[in-house]
Amino acid sequence: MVAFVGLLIGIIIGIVWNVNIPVKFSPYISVAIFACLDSVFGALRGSISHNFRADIFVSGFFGNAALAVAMVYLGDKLGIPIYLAAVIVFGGRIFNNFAIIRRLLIDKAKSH
Amino acid sequence: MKNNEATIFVFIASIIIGLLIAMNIGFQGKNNFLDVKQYDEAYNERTKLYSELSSLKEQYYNANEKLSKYNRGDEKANEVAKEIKQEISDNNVLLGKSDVEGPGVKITLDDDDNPNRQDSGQFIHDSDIVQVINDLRNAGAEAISVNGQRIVYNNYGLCYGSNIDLNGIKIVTPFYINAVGNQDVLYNYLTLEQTHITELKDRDVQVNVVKEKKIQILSYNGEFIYKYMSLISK
Repeated sequence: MVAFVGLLIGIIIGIVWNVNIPVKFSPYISVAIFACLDSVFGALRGSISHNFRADIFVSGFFGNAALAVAMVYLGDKLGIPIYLAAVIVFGGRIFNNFAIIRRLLIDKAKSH
Repeated sequence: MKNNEATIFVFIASIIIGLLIAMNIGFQGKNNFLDVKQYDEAYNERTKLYSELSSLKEQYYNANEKLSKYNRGDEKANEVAKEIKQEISDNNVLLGKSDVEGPGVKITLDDDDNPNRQDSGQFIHDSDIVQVINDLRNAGAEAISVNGQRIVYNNYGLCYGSNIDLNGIKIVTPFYINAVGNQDVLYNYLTLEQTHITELKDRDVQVNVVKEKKIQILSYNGEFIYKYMSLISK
């Protein structure tokens, strides 16, 4: 719930500020968004299963994003779409995390 | 407590993600990713431009060919003009309207300077000049001048006592007759054959014929005027 509220606030702030990043960086930002989303899902899962650790979340949040951006850059220079690896890994993990969150939530609901 | 912490972090992270998404979506118009419709349109546009390009290339080729044809045509016209010019200059050379030079002979004629002679044979007459010119023509001289006067087709000579009126210009002795032609033929003809020069020699007037490698003969500076003749139209 809190994630959606935060997302909405962020989007609104972004639209109000209307900051444009150069088109050149668009693919980097896209992959970074994906990495951050993965981290957020991980955090949600952690908070639900009560094993959330702030240091791991923060490092993962920024580290994943940075790594993903670096991969896109490297792929751009080498001519190989390496960012696909990031997309696939993050996508898979997002679905994994979502599945676990789903199970935990359903279990929680059933146990009540 | 732990849950609360997680919520805060997730909230902050969500805000950041939202920001990033908004930033990334914010420039949709400038996005370098095209949706299917845009791609289709762009593809069609490209095809159109390509076909336009090929038709333009064809046009260019045609225009270029035409241009080169014109150029060639110009060349032809130029050649014709060149030939005409060449012919005109040839005609001028033949008529005597151009300065010419070439090998030939120089003839110097002077009256006999013997003061005791009293007959007309000691003087050079207009008829002598005319006959010498005739001899030169006979020997194949291409250009002749007498005392610098170019001999052209309508020259005449008249004697007015001490000087000779050659085509309206008075000339006096000595006469320098220059002729361009085959110098050997001219020289041999004038000295060996029975010509007017040999006759003049017999008359003891001063006659001197020399071969020259290069003789310059200036153009006729008068005008060619005709009133009565006209071209026969074929």
